[in-house]
Formats: sequence, structure tokens, C-alpha cells
Amino acid sequence: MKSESANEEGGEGEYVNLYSSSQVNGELPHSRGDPAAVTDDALPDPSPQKPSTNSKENAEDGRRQKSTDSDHSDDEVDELSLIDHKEIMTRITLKQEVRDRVCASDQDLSAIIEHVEPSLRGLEEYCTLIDSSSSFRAYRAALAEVEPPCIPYLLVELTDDILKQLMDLVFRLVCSGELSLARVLRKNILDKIPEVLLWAKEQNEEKSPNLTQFTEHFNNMSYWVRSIIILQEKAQDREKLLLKFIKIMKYKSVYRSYSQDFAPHNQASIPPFLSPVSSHFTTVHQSQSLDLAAPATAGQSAVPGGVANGSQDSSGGSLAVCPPSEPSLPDSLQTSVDPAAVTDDALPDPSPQKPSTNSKENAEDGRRQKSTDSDHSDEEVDELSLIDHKEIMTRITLKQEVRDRVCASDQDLSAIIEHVEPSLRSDDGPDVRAGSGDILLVHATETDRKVGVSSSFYSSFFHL
Amino acid sequence: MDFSWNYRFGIIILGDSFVGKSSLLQRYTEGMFDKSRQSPLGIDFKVKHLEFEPGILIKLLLWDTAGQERFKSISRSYMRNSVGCLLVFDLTKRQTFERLRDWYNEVIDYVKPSKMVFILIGHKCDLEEEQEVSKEEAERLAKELGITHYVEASAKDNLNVDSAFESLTMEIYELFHAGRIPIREGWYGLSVGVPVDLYNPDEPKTEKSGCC
Repeated sequence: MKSESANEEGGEGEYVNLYSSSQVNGELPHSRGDPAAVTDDALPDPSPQKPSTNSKENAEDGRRQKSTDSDHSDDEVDELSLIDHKEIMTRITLKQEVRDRVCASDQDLSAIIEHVEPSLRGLEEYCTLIDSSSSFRAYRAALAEVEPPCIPYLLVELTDDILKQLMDLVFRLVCSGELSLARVLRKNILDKIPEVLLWAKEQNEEKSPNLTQFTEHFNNMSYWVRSIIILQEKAQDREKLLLKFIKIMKYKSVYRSYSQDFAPHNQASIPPFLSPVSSHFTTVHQSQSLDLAAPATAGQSAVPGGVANGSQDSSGGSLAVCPPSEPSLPDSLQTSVDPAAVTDDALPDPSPQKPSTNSKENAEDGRRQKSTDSDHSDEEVDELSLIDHKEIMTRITLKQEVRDRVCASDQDLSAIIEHVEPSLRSDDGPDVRAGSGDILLVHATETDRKVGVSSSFYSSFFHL
Repeated sequence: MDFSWNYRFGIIILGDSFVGKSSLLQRYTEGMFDKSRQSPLGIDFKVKHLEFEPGILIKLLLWDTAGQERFKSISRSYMRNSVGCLLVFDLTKRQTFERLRDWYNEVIDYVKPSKMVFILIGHKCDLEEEQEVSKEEAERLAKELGITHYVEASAKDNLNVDSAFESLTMEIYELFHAGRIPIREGWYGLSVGVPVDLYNPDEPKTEKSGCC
């Protein structure tokens, strides 16, 4: 009865249990029946205190060794093409014969690794790591650091499909009473769950490095905007900068292009309207019809590699923030942009239905125009290169004096935002498009969707 | 646009991390308590419709913020377009109570010159024996800050949760009708939808606004 149950466990979990059984396989005879060795395997043998089981397995192992000549098995492993998802899924048959083959020796395992790892970085490093320590744990840890992340046992990139199948497997394991196996497998899968979701569970910066970087950059950007405004000695200059930022935000809101502002520089493509070539907004707007014709392109070109998960995120993100009831973007643009008017004020006004706001703004603008030559201010800000991450980082001085001023700048900031928001805010419901607050949301949503897990963020978008 | 509500209040929930802001909101909007409730990423929101006087439907936009410092700049930008604020602290953690003054000042500074109506909530009152803040103390602070209501609530045991939200809504409503909450252009903390006299509570179209 005992041995049978052990067999069963081996059955479903065998490909997970790959190394642990090979260790019992005579390669490391000293470890046999040693409880410490068993716990060293990441996979807890559910019955480590049962030497009788082990000995029985050993007998089996002997048989296996006979049937699988090591060279022969090498070939076989090659044929398996371990990085081909379909191949793997068809091969996870969990039948007895397959299990026998999978129970490979150390040599086989390193053959696998050699076969797979060229696509991974640091091949030699990992091989030596494994060879020297002969420790499954080290091997697993090494694989976990690999880019793209692998499930150590499977040596494949974790896709939605695989994830789903794995969760199914966990479910089956649980159903059949293999609780400890299920737990181990589940834990290992959970390690690979999108970090945005992990963050909600436990606020661990190490487990959510991209999110942390994203948040940090977001905050730095915010500090920088405040600092740069407050650092101006003259009130006029502060006003200029303020207006400039407002313009930028308006422009962004028209294109719903938020993520690229906040992506780390090395991952962000340069948005068309801030390209170094066009040092001036009006230049951009001469070719505006082109821009307008392809608002989607702006989204797609943004953030290859994304902050978290790639370009699909950013473009999909922009779509996700668009409330279903909203008029489609190109329409609203076409109605709102009068080319003749635009040359005057480089920005298409996103809120054409609010003439009252405009008139008020115009009056204000008049005042400003007096004090600030508009051309001059535009150029000045462009020089700052708003998407250059390094530039931004160097400018975030965060010295005490600056910080003091920044604290005092809250009023200024709210002035900015007040100025910006009327145009961003839709008439009904929470403002899902406007500014800062939603960027993180969008990313969370997108990542969630990727895994097929919908979170409260996601559903709440459509809750209005 | 088809408005089916008469008033819309933006309400933001503030307080330190892990005082139970999200749980409060979940209890209020979904009527449940999830012990493993996860912390929001930046901001989250829920919508609730309240009809506390027949024929007057109020739509509450409830903003649930993350208490962590790193998300401050996000939650801040939602203060501005809120008219009501639930200041939450954990009755069993004294330091969350002591941070209240900072929260209050920050909000006041930030939403100037708009009006913000506060309610003070001592959360987790089900953990009676671990309580580190007395009711008198909290009431004193509320009085000092000019906050009308102090409520001890528990999302876990569903104590005073609904009444906390409702009394805040009521206070906003009354202040508005007393002319104490001016509506400014470009401010969305409090919006007026369908005029009350045109609104017919028997019409089924009111149900529409819940989702889109």
C-alpha cells in the first residue's frame, strides 16, 4: 500500500520531481534514505521517513538504468524539445512509461540544460553552479533568475496557457488528495505570478521589482515637475513652466498616451510630438493631420518592452481606460481640432463643449501672453527633454531647500491640476482618464488581464 | 447625457496603511468582509447609490486610496475632487491615530479653497481588548479639528459601517443645502444631476446608472 501511494505521487508529479528521483538514482548513494537529503530537494518527498519506499524505488531505478543507456537517453531528451510548449503539453501524459524515461540521471539533466539554456543567459555560470553543488536547490534558484523567467522544473517560459494548465494540474492534484505535491507545485507557480498581483498580497519590493521601479519613476517624475517649477526665481518663469506642463498633459490626454511618459527612458520610444527634431510644438502641428490619422500608432509605438509586460500593455491600456460610453477618439479629435485655431494655440482643446471654461481661460491666457512670450517658453521647456530619464534623475536634486520649496508648491500644483482637469474629466462618473492616478491602475488592469485574472481594479472600470 | 441621480458626491477614504480602509469600503458596498483583503495599488473606487430621502438619489463615488507613502502623489490627486473624506485610524494602533492630524492638515492644504467634509472613524472596534485609543480622546480630536462625527466602526462585525457613510453623506447634503458648499466650475467634488422636482422616483430608469 505504501509503495503504491508513492508510485501514484510519482505519477502526477513526476516531471516536477525530476531531480529528486534522479538523486535517489544511485548517483549520490550517500544521500539515499537520508532525510536531510530529501528535504534538500525542493520537492518534499511526502514520505521521507519511509526508507522501505525508497529501497523499493531503488530496485525500480536499477531496471530503468538498464533500459536507458545514457547516450541513448541524451538523444531522447533532445528530441523532446523542451522549450516547445505544444510538445511539452503533449508529453505530459503522466503515463508510467514516460515517467520511467523522465527519471533521468544527472547527466541527462545537464544535457537538458545544455539543450535549453543557449536561449537563456549565463549558460556556463549555471552549469558550473549545478555541477559544483549538485544541489537541486541551487539549480532551481539559478533557473528562477533566468530571463525570461522559467518554471525551474519545466524549463519553459510561463505563458498564459501553461499557467492555466498548471493550475489545472494543481487542481487535479488537490482533488486526488495529493495535497503536499499540489502545495509545492502551486507555490512554485505562484512565485511566477505577475508582480502587480503579488504586490497586493504582500508589499515586497524584491518580488515586484518592475512595479517598484515604475512607482519610483512615477514619483520622481512628479517631484521633478514640482521642483522644476518651484526652482524658477521669477514668478513669470514659474507660470511659463506651469503652462507648458499643462499643454503637455492636454496633449497626452487627447492621445490617451500616458504610459510612455512614465516608462523608464531606456524602454520608451520617443513620442512623435516630443521628438528631438521638433523643438517646437507648432512644428508638430503642421503635420497634425498625420498624427490624427493614426492615433493608434502613437499608442503602439509606445514602450516596447513596457514597464512590466510589453507594448501590448501600453496600447491596450489606453483602450482600457476609455469608458465604453465615450465617443470614439478620432471623432472627438476631428470635431475639436480646427487647424486654423490650432496654429495659434498649439494644443487641440479637448473640451470644445465647454465654451465657458474657454472664455475664462482666454482671459487668463491674455494676461499670461503679456508677460510671457509664448515661443520663448515653449523652446525652453523642450530643451529639458521630458522623457530623458537620466536628465530627469539629475534634475531631481531633492536638496533641503528645494524640498522646502516643493512643499510650499502644493498650491501651485493644485493650480496646475485645476487648470488641467476640467478638460480631462468626463461628465459622468469617476475620472478614469485624467492624469496620474490612473496610470498604475491601467497597468494593473492590463497585467491582470494577461493572466486571465480579473481584479477589483479591472471590474471597477466598467462598474460605472 | 442621461443623469439619473440628483447629486453626486465624491468621497475619499484616507488613513495610514492597514487601518482597514478597503475593508470598510468593501463592507459598505458589497456587504462582505474578506480577511485576506489585499491592499489596493494606488487607488481603487466603488460606486454606491443612496436614496435617503424619497425621490432624492445620491450617487457616491467612493475613492479607496493606498495608505502607503509611495502612492501619496496618486491619492492626493483624488482629494481635490472629493467633497467628503473618511479619516480612518486603527483603534488598536495608536500611531495611526497620531498621524490623523497630519492627514487632516494635508487634505485641508491640498483642497483649498474647496470645502471638505470630514468624518473620523476609529476602525476595528471589534478588537475591544486591544484598543489603544479611547473614545473620549478621539472625540476630543474630532472636536478640535472641527469634525462633526466620530464613529467607532468594524468592517468585520459590520458595526456602524453604513451609518458612518450615511451620516457623512447627510452632513454633506445638509451643508450643501445650507449654501455652505459652493459649486465651482472645474470642481467635481459635488455635482448636481437631475433637478429634484423633475425626477420621478417611480420611473425605472433610475436603475440604469449602476453600470455601463
